[in-house]
Amino acid sequence: MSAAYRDAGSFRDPSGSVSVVNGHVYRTVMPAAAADHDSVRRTGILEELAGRGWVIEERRVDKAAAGSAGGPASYVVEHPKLAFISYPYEWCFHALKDAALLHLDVHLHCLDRGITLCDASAYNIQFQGPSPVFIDTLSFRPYRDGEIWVGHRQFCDQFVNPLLLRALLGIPHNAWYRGSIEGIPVQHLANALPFRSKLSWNAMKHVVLQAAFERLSTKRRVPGAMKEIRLPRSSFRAMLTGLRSWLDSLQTPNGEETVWRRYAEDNSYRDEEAQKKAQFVSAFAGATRPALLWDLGCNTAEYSKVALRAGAALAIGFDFDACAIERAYAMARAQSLNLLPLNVDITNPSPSQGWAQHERKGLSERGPADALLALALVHHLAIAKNVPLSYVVDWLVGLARSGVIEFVQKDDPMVRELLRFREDIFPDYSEENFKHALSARARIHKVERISATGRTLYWFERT
Amino acid sequence: MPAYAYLDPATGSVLLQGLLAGIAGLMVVLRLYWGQVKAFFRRLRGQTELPAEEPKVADRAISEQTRQ
Repeated sequence: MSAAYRDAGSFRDPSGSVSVVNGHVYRTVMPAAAADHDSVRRTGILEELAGRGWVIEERRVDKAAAGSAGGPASYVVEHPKLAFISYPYEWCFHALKDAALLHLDVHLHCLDRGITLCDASAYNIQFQGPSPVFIDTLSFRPYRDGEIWVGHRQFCDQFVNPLLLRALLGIPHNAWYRGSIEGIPVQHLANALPFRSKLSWNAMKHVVLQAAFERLSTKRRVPGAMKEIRLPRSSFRAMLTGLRSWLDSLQTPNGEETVWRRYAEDNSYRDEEAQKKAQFVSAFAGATRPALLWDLGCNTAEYSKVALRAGAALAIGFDFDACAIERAYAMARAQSLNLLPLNVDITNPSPSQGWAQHERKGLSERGPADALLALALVHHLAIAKNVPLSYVVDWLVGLARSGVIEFVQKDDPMVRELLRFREDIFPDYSEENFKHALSARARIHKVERISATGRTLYWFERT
Repeated sequence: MPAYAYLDPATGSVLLQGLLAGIAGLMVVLRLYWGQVKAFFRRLRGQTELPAEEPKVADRAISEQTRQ
């Protein structure tokens, strides 16, 4: 990638755009938006919200810093660069909920100061560890008396509907959201909701009535007087506070939360194998001190925690098990770990998609990481998913400069479980072949056998 | 103005907000005239129910006296 590029996800808003020049993130403020942005800045609210950690910091810099993008701009601000960008279709339920609550808190705070938000995109929120932060400072503009909440529909599609899908129907939002990146349309959710759920006044308002009005507007000509609709500030505020308390009360079904509470406490490593694994990971993270560590197949992210305590600055966990990711997220919040667990199936990671297939980046485009952990993972890819061993090693080594990969023998009880009902079509799955494939692509720095069944950890450094 | 309008608020959402504003307006009107509304109903009750209630109160007083 060149040293200067315009962020491919930032083009819809004519008020400005984001460019990255030599690793610095700049936001241009175009003449059409300069007066509004200036008046928002003068209130001091951006500094105040940045102080709370709700909104990303910004400081005005020389226009020339943003390179050619700075030319037509009125002025340019710089934001701190985020170590990793994630998307709402990768977040777990509680991460999406925390992002929604942050949006509402920011908006409520602003409205009391005569400022509003011109959109409600979930992509305007990013995570620093497990804490959401609002990143689009051009969304803020002065509130005009009586105006409606223009972002309401977008807020429903991108926050409310995906959360309801899980809370009311038990369906994780991730797959649907990933295929429908502007969110889950209100009409589709209205069709899916059972009758009983529709009886709540909140679901009735934001889902059923909104969908009905939308259907109505496609059948009949909407009167021009619709433009004259005014919403008193008190009603605007009531919409935000009502949504806030409703969303705050939503939970995943089946009482998962009670199970999580245990994870707020420090889990001890029970057996010798887990202890040896933790020591190995700790030595690796202590020596490499990665700024960004990817933990693939992280489960509840216990080894991410070990790596963070040993010197990793930020860990991103990936697992397809929604429940494990919820637990990991709860642990990261409770223990203030710089960890973001994401709901991603690494055999089918997020693709590059959206406009021109660049708007939202695929997982590989967001790498390489400084380091990776692939613990108890290779046999799932090579045996459960039939991926040839050399492909697995190729992919893993391509993702990070160094890492720890665990090899699990074919006669390990877990592998035998995977092969219980199927024919063994994996004659090439052996430690010898694994070692050969790894040493062809990287230098093997350290090897340690950690269990009686022959589970072995490999520390590699890419050559 | 053009800088504000890049997001289409969507018809369903606008109509819903119109309805919510209407409900809020109705509540305000109701609250403003609440005193008069209450007085109206009190008058209504006063005309139709008061004569029927009086003997009941008297009956209760009598029965209480007899119990003592």
